[in-house]
Amino acid sequence: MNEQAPTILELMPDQLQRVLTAPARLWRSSLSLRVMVTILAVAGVLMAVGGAFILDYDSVDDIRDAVFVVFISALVLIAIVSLAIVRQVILELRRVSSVAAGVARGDLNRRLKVSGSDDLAMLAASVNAMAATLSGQIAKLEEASEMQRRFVSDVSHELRTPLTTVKMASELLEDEQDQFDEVTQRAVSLLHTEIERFEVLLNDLLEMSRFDAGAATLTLETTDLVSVVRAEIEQMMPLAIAQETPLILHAKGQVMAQFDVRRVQRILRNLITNALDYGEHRSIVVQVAGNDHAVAIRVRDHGQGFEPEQAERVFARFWRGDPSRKRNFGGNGLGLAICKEDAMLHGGWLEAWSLPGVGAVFRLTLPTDPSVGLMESPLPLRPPGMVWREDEIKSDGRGNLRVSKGAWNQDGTKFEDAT
Amino acid sequence: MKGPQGQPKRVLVVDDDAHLAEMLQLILQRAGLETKWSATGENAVAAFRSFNPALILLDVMLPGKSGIQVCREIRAESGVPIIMLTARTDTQDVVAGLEAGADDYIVKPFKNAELLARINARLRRTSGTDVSQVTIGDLSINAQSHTVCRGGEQIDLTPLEFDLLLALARRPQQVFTREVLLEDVWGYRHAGDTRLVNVHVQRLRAKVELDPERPCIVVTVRGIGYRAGAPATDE
Repeated sequence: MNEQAPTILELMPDQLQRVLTAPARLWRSSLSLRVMVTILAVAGVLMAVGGAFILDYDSVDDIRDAVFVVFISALVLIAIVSLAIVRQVILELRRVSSVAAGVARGDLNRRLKVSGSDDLAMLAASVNAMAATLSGQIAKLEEASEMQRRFVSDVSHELRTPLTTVKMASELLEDEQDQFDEVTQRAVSLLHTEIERFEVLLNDLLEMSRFDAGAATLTLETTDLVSVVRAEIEQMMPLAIAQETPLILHAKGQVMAQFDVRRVQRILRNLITNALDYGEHRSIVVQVAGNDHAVAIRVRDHGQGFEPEQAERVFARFWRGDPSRKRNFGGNGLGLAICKEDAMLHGGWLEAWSLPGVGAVFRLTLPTDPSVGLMESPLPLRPPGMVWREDEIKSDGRGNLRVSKGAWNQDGTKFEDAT
Repeated sequence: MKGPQGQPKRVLVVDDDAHLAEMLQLILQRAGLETKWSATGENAVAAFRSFNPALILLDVMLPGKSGIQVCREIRAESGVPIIMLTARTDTQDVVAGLEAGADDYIVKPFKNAELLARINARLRRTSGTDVSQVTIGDLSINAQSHTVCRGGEQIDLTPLEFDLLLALARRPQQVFTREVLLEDVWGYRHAGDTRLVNVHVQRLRAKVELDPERPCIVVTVRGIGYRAGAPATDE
């Protein structure tokens, strides 16, 4: 490759070249050969020195001295040689281990220089092969998931054009409703509702694909959370009144924090809509509180609730509570999943707690400054003062009394909280 | 919607989807507008020249020549109101459309009423009813002839830019928030995209300000919005 003049070796025929360089290659390639040759050389030198001493002896003492000197020198030399060898092996192992650790950390482009063909060289080669396979697999996976994200995003966009046409047509029909008979009127109205539902689902899918692609960004503003919550509750009020559900805000003064107003509004809207849908017309309480590190919103309903084990699963995509439950509500199963992503984008938490028959609690906690992590929430998740009991049998002297699983107050009365 | 001589106003629909274009035309014709359809960006400019529409509905994502490019070419020769149709709310798309000179944009899928409201806002010209001659800074605006002059020299504005300038000039004492301008000039009844205002104020300033870096016709009121510059004292 380079312009250097060829050496004599390079001018020879290939075969001869290989024969002549074989010992050198063997020496470079094999650690055990190097060790053996070194030990043999050391032993040879020592025997020669020892022999010289012994040949020159005057007395038995001299012989003893000579043997002693040879023995000590042999020990020292062997120690030095083995240290050197061990050092060489250890350095090599360290190199391998540092690269392996790098690969494990995700630095998949790191590779070892492989020289020779001994065990260490084989180890290095295997580590390289492993890293190469790993990085190949990861690239493949990344490509697949990127393709999937692109697919979702493209599908959502492609569906928009036909949806637009269909929606315009359905609105045109709706404008003419009074000219239709009753059955057709109902059909047009169903058509209209379902198109709206389809549109919401499409928007949610697109939003989800933005989160998956890491394309979601925060627009942070330092704002009073209480006024944002109050405005949202005022917006929801007509719906709450229509559903005959009391909607109550508990908040004092201002709660300042840095957050994305649009996303927090979306979370609130979802939580309140869910509470209205599942709250069975009993009161819904929204609390807002904050301290130096965190702010929180807590939405509490007193509806049918769900099993405590499902508290995590409600945030899963397309999760449905009780499969037998009638689906007469608007949600499409992506609402809470999107809310959770919104909260996590802030470095915050969105958590749920519930008991069947007691109601559900959803709590959003956001750090006052998204660059600082969360430690705790200013509001409790579980209703305060509640005791959770498993099934137990109590004896009161006259007979056994069954205390059933559920929530109780500390004084033993059935738990019903107002907060 | 009728033009000055009683004939219907014309709208050019540029969209590659035949069914959507047909549906759009049905809705527009039902509202009393005359329509023409152009399926490609390549034909759109020629169709604009021959049809001479009062407004253009332009899809951003066209095969071949893009909506952005079409918008730029039409804007180079006319101030005709252009409303972009877009399938995405992604920032780059919208901003690129506005910077190419679109007056407004509407995201698919939309409500018919919303579409018609935006079209009406662009077709309805603010004509001088109360005051026909207003001044803003050293500019004089004639609301009847839709002209703006600085010292006898006429400045060319698109109808939208004219409306924006006139809205500010009519109430020189008032500070306008972007939301109020969206309602007054663009006809938004609900919250709209305030970027519309920002982009068009920039475009307007580039035409009317002597030094767009230090505007004195359309003055920014920090944290609130915009107001008209003080009328020039007589020299």
